[in-house]
Amino acid sequence: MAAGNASTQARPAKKKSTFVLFLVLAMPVALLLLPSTLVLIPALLPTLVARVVDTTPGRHLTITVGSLNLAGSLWFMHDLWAAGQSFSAIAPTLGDMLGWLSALLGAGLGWGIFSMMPHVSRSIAAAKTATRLRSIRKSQDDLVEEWGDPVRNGGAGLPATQP
Amino acid sequence: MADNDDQVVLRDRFEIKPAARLPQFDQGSGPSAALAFSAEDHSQNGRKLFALICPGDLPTRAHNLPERKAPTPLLWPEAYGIVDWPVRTAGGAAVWGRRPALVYAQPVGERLSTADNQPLPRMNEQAITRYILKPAIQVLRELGHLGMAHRAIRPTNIFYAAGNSGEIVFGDCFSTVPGCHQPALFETIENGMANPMGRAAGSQADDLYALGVLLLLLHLGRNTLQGLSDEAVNSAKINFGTFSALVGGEKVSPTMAEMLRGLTSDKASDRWTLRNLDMWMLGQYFNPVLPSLPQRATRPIRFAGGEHMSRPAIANAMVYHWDDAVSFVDSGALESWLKRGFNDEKVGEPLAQIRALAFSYGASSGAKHRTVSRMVAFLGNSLPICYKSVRVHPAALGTMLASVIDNAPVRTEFVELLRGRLPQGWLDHQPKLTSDMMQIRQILEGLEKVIDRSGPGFSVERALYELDHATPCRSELIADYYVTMLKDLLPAIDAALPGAEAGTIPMDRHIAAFIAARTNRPVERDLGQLANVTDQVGYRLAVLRLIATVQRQHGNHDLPRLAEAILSILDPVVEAFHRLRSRDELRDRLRRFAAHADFMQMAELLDDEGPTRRIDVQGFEEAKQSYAALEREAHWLEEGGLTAPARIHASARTSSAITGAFLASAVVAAFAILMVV
Repeated sequence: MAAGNASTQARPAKKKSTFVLFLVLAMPVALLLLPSTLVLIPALLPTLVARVVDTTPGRHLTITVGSLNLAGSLWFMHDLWAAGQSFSAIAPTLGDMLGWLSALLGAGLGWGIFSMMPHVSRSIAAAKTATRLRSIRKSQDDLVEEWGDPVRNGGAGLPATQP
Repeated sequence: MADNDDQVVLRDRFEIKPAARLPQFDQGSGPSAALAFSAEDHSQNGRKLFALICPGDLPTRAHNLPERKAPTPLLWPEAYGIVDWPVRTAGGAAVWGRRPALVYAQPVGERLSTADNQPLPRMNEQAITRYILKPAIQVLRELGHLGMAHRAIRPTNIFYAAGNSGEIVFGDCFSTVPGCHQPALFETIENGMANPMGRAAGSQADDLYALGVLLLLLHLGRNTLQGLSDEAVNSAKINFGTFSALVGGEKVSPTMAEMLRGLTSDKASDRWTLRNLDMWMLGQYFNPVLPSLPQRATRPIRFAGGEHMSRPAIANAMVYHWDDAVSFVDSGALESWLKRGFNDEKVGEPLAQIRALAFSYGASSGAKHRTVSRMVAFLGNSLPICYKSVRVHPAALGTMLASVIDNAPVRTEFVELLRGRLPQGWLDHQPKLTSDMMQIRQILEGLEKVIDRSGPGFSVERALYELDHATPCRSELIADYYVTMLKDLLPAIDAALPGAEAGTIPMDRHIAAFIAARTNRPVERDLGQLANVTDQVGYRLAVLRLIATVQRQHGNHDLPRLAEAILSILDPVVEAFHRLRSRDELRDRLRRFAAHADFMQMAELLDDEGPTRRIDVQGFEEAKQSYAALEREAHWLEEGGLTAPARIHASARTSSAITGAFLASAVVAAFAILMVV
């Protein structure tokens, strides 16, 4: 029990230390590229929302939305970096409607992929199941052809298990 | 089998004619007799010959016929062999089998006596010496050199060399079981009391005894014990000694009496030998041999209507009145007589031991009978083993069993005798064990392990072939073929199969026992499987393996019908193989082996512990496991193994993250390229 408690306590601690490490590494970059950081913060708002609503382990929604939201925010980055990445360029950059469209489209595409993927996965799994079942029946028929019907008796009453 | 024209030819020279009986030359009478038929010598026409056809169910000494060293006045076979012979008729047609046959030259003179109850010629001392004793000594000396006894010296088996007087020729002694046709009068007390088929092969001493009786009867010119039963003859011999019993009140010349007393001595060690006879003929005088009479009791004991004064005398009476003897022994009268009649208070101890041993072995219901049997052995240790109607010398157990095995009640008695360890008890009562007796004890010890088991290859059939290695196989299939040696077994089965019903399995209790007794290889496992008929695969494999065992010992591959029969019974064995393709391969291989009657290869191929079977069983187990694993996987899939919502959602989340990251990477890469350009 003591060992169990120690491991459950160790997990948040490890998470915390990873977050701290991220902050330590990201902070200098964020400070160094402060105009870019100031543009990205509003542009990545959908990602922040996704992070808030995504409570599942692995944060797959955050990754999906975040990665495409970030890709969409590159429009702003292009504008900012084209204007010399100065503080004065922040306002005109954020005023670019196409930039907002790009950032939000990216985030929307992420939401869309995340929402559609279960349907796609289900279809793929169903197709895989049918193919594998055909292959199994074929192998079983081959065994019966070689050894006769008694070979069927070997698995009577056995529970269904994953291979 | 026989030639097309049903000629029976022995050694390509002697033709034996089944249709031409010569009953005057028959040896003995009854089922154990050797019947005489006319024979012809193809290389020397005009000779008068006859052939003796031996009984097909008994061992014969002719198998070991030695080479004669000197011509003697004894009918000696011109030829011996096993011939094709019409053994019986079925539906008006002759059924051919095989029988031992001996061909002899026909004696010119008449028989000394044509029947046991016919009067005998009276001879004086000179005639006896010249015409009987001299040729008898020659014959016995020659047989002695060959290491065998005649055992058929009696007036009905002696021929005049010519006409009906003068010199004589002794009759055949090879065609029948030794001593089995001798009247009890011509047998020693021990053998006279035994059943005719239960008499020992004996030695020269037995021949000299029979010769002594013969000479005495010829000297007297009559049989003084004529008309008496065997029991009475034995009783007279026991009570008075053979010489006195036979002479009765008649006068015998002193010189003849000297010789006859010596020859008819009831104690084998006191009996005259050929050397004594030689010396006597040269005129030497010997001290008269005193009769060897058993110790007499101080008072007689009454039993079965008679009074008996000695232990062997009461034993003799008990043997012939068995049922009375059971209650007699049970009443304690015998024990009391033994104590008081012989002033032997210590006799109670061995008698108690006898009772204890009788209860130790065999079924409890036969304990009283076994007590009587052991009591008889105690009362006269040289008397035969007696049990109910069976009276047999240990050396003749095999012959006796061969003669009674088809007689269910007597066979049962015989089995009870063996299961009760009565022969072993008899041997325990012997003051001295000869090498022959030691050999018998060894055989009996081997029998103890098999007589109580009931399966094929054990029990009474096994005893039959263990007790006498010359006994022919009594299997219904091959009984007509007189198979005494293992090497002849498979050819006999091969020859017998066409006459058997279709689908006959070439194995039965007798064949199994015959193989088990004759082979030098272990067959216990096969016999065990043979007993379990419900497991047809094991049973048929055991049949094949036993046949293969014989072939391994005596390689013979010219057995087409047996191979066909074996092939036909092996279908269930092949069907027992799991791999369907293997079955066809096995059938092909078996057919190839059967074409050469190679039973050893067939047995090896199908052996349930052999590589083919092992691979098949192992492969089948693996296939079953594979099938089961596939079935489990199919169930899992059918029950939504891959399409379970939780699994789908987990997979979808991971997939969307990967897709998103991948698309973003592509956009970033494109942006980077655009920036550079």
